[in-house]
Order: sequence, then structure tokens, then C-alpha cells
Amino acid sequence: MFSSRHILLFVVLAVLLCAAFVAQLFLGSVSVPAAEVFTILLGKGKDEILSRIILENRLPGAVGALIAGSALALSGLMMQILFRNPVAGPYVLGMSAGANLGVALLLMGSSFFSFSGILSKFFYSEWGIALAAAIGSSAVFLLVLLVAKRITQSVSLLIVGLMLGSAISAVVELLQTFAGKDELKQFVLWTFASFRHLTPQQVWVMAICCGFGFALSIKMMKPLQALQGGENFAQTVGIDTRRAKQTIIIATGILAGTVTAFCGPVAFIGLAVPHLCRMIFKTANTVTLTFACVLLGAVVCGFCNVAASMPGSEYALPVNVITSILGAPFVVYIIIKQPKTV
Amino acid sequence: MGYFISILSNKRFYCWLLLGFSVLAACDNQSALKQRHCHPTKTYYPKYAKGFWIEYFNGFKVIHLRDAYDTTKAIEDYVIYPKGKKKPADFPNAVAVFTPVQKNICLSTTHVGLLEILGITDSISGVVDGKRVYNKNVLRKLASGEVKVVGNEAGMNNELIFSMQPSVVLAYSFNEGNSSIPKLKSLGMSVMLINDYNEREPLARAEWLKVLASLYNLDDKADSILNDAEAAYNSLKTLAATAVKKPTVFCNMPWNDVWYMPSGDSYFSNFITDAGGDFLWRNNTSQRVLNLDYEVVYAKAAKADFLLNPNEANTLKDISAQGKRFENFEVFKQKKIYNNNLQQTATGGNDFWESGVAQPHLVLKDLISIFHPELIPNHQPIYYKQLQ
Repeated sequence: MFSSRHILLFVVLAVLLCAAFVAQLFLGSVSVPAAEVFTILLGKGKDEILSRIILENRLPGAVGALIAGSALALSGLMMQILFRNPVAGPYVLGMSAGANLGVALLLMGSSFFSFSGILSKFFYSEWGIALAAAIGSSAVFLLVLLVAKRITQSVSLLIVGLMLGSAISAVVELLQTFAGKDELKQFVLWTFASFRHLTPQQVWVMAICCGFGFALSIKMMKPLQALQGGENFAQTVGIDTRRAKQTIIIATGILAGTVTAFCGPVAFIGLAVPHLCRMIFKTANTVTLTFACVLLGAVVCGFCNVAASMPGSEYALPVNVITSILGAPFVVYIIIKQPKTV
Repeated sequence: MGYFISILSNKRFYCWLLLGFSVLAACDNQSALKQRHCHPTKTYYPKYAKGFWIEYFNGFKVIHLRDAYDTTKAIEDYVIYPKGKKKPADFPNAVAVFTPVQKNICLSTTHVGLLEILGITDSISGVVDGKRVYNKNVLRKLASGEVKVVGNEAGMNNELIFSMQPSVVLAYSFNEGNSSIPKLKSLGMSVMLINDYNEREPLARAEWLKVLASLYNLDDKADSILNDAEAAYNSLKTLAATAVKKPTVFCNMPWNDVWYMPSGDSYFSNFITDAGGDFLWRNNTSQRVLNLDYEVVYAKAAKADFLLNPNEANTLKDISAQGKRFENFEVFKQKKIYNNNLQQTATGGNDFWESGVAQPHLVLKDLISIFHPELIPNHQPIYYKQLQ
């Protein structure tokens, strides 16, 4: 099924994945001796504080970062194939913007509505924020779905997504203009994205949702392969393109929406990793690329999370600082390397 | 092109350039050293504050602002003199504020608190972000429309401010990043920076009362308020120093992963130390807030005795709603979490940031009663409450 070169690359990626996972557990602002980390992981840690740091702070963040990386890279890959556009991603379809809007409305829309009592406790907690983000991105996704029914050209849909994103960003800016200092700060910090605040329960929810998204994506491998040759080609080989497109959008929405809901809008992973996979694997085979994206996305996100925690220093950086510094120049490179005809 | 290169490679060009710069620098020094026409009758150097000093002349006053972190750096001067008179020639670059100062606009609620202690909240005609105001008098006037909301964090309504024609707009350096301030200055409005928030000593922050008092000729009143506050503060500090055990203290709550902790050389750090507490980041004397990683704080403060100022939290439930991980802190288990929002309006106006700034002795008393209840028995707290 895979060439021997690809198998070797998969093994390398799997090793790197383990390294990324281990690095996230062993490296952090508080320096914990490696031997101590081992004892803690074996459940025999004596120091309660260090145990909690490893097991409750680093472990959920580490798992969360790996899931997020895989999910974003995979959703990016599917978008790029579906829209036959190298710069497509959850950002481009306006889904991240939709999640932004959901959270912005919750945190800064108090002049329009506000919750009190038990409702406020829920809505202004991290669960409320996650729910708002999920509702926001699903709403945009439904809109895109409705529009997708009316237009057949992938490029047109992409433009609709861009316009939707701009319109939503304008509403978010409007909310920011009228927001108070604390609300604004909370929102801005959310847009920085983060993995290390994830609780074990949240990681479970993320894992279940993304697991469903992964399953759908694997089911869509064959139609995706056909879609690479264009919609007409896919139809001639007997693919129900409309249905395939809808399923792919649903899978993408679940993957990108869940990650954005819990971790915030993580920049560039969804866009850059699929390209990195194409460059490394030198193939257009969707099966290979799917697995490559799942592995490499996790590796990149894991190491970005390590870098953001600035091991050995008391301070921490937002994850998006790292992903953007690495991702943005890479995307520019991709655009420059594009064949002139596209 | 070749011509420019030949100029740049000519040594004589650099000699001329150097000479030119030295002449310019000398001119600048000359103007600074220029003989003053008049001499101050009195000069006020604050005992604690580093960000300002005042000179009193016959018929006018000059308030000098400087950087509280580097007192050799002048920020701005304000010359306060009667309207219609000629501007004192010694201070051509100073911002003019005309007396009698009547209406003012407060761009920070702290200004409202300072004016309240001076008993002149009636002078306020506009505030920013009305929801954050605590003062009852100002709230009443906001409701009746006598005091106007002139903007919010995101921006100010320049036209409204201009149309109100206040004697002075009270701002702070932080506002300067906001495009409104240069605009207001260019419209000829007197904008005065009140940089109390840059002071690290609680008594220093209170001393900014003098700046506002000098606008309204209440200098003597301010002196007596400050003398009383200083005496009370220092005797409380001496009392707190008698405590044998110093409890460990940390502050705030994280936003996402980043825990914003006051530095060891800050307003809060000094309050905690003066109240007989052991602030865990006392030794980090950075000039800015520390952006600490969550796990760093957990490692250091998991067993700490007290947590102060956990952002907006009102109850312990608010804390656990931010994440179950906070329940692991000893302060949570022992219910040793105190917030400065005992006096707060429903919309978030907090008296701690108003009258508390000008009354550091009352804040200190609250803190001592938290850390060492035996030293001040039966104390009724004014600003701090224990989260339940």
C-alpha cells in the first residue's frame, strides 16, 4: 500500500511524535528532574505539587496539543483538496471567525444580553466559552453548507467563505469597540490560543469529537482522492460529489470547530502542515497524506507547545506566537513557489 | 550616485557632521540653562512619590512630571495661571491650565477617588466607562445626565469632550497610546497626566492628591490629609512589624496560562510587606508585571497562606469555575482568599480603585487584619472581603 520510503518516513514521524509527547511532559517552566517525572508517570511520585504539575497541568496539555495538531492539519488537508486551493483552511471558510464571534458575543456582548445566577456561572466559565465557539463555528458552517448547495464552483464557495469571515470580523470589532477592559482582555487572550489550560475532561471531549471527525475523514479518503482531479473527474468515476463535499465539510467542521472551541483559534497549523507533508512525502495520494498530516500535525503542535512554555524560564508565550512565527513565512514561501497558472 | 559615495567616503564630511551635531546639542543646553526670570516662593518635593514635583511662584504654579522609574527623565510640565494673564515666560513649553479650574473630565476612576477625598467630586463633568464608577455622587449625576460618559476603553468621544470645554482633562500616560489624547491637545485642550499608577509605594500613590489639590487651591487640605494618612500608615506598619510569623502571600489569577503577578517592587508587593506578609515574588524586582507560567505559580504557591485580589472573583465558586485545578491550592482548601471588591457596584465600580488609592492606611489596616487578626481585633474591613 505504501512505498518503502513512505513507510520509513512514517516511522520517523512516529518517533518524532513520541519525542514531542515526552518533551511536553519533561520540559516546562518548572524544572523537574527526568527521574522524578518517570516516578510520577508510574504513579509513585512523592511530591504532591510536582505530581500535579506533571499529571494535571502538562499531561492534558500535551495530549490536547497532539490531538489539536492532528485535527487541524487533517481539516486543512481536506479543505485544500476540496477547494483545490493551496491556501484553503478552516480560517478561510470563516469557521474560525465564527468561533471568534461566538466567544466575542459571550464575553463582550453584555450590552445586548447578559446571564445571571447559575446560567452566568456556566456561560462565563471555560465550558461556556467552548460552547459559544462551537455554536459560532457550526453556525458559519451551516451557512457555508447552505451556500454550497446553490453553487457548484469550489472557488466561488471559497470567496463566500472569505466574505463571511470579513463580515464576522467586522461584528467582532464592533463588539470590541464597546467592550470593557476585562472583557476585552479575556477575549484577546482567548484569540492567542493555548493548550496548557486544558483539563482532563476537556481533553476527553476533544478526543471523542475529533475521533468522530477522524473516522469521517478516513471514510472520505477515496472521494477525496477522486476530487483531487476535479469535480467532473470525480463524477465520472462514480462519486456523488455533492454528498462527498457535504460529508467532508461536516468532518472539517467537527475537527476545526472542536479544537478552536477548546484551545482558541490556533494559527497556521491547518494551512502549513498539509503542504509540509506534500513536500516531505512528494505525493498526492490522499491516504498517505491523511496519515502524514495526522502525525506531522501532532508533532508540530507538540513542539510548538514546548517552545511556548519556554522551558527553564518563569515566563510563558502564547502558542500562536510560535505557530505564526513559524507558519507565516512558510505560507508566503508556498505562494511564491506556486505554478504561475493557478 | 558616485557623487554621494565620494561625499560619504570623505573624512572631512564626518568632521562637519560632528561639528553640526555639537552646535545643536550646545544650543539645546543653552536653552535649558537659560536664566529664569522669576524664582519659586516654595518648592514641594513629595516624600515618597517620584513622578512629580511642584514649584509655587507669585501668581502661578508649575507642576513638573517625570518618569517614576527614571527621575532624570522629564515627561511634561504644567503651568497653572489665571485665565487672561500672559503665560509665564520661563515655561514656554509647559501645558497651560487656566485658573480658576472649574470642570474637569476624569479618564480614570482613580481620579474620581482622589477628587472625592478632596471633597470636590462636583467638579467632575465627564468620566470614561461610567459602569466602572463607584462614587455615589458621580453615579447620581451620571443618572441625571449632569455628568457625561465621554468614551470607553476603546476610544473617546473627542467632539463631546471638546464641546464640554472642561478646564482640564485628567488623563494618564497609558491613555497616550490612545489616539484621542494628541487630538485633544491639538484642539487646545489642557490635558494633564496623573501618573499615580506608576508609583510603587502606597503613600507615594496617595501623594498625587497634591497635584489635583494644586489645581483647585486645596494644597493645605491635601497636606493635612496626607499627613494624617502617613502617620496612620506608618504606625500601622510598625504594628505589623511586631508580628512574629510572616504568612506567605501571592496575588491575582491567571488568564489562560499566564499568571499576571505584581513584581517584587510594586504597589501591591509593598502593601503586603508593610502589612507583615511575605510576598512570594518579593525578590523579583522587575519594573513590570510578571507574566508567569501557571505551573511556576503552582510550584511556588501551592502551600501559600493567602491569595489576594483574584481578578473579579466574588466567591470561591467563581474561582473553581475558572478551573478545578485552582481547588488544589491550599488557600482554596483553607478559604484564605481575599478580594478587594467589598465595596463594589453591580456593574463593577470598585471603591478600592477610587478612595482606596488616596487612603492607603485604610487598605493597610484591612491587610494587617487579614494576615494578623490578633493585632487588630474586631476590625471591620473596608475594602477587602473573604471569599466564601
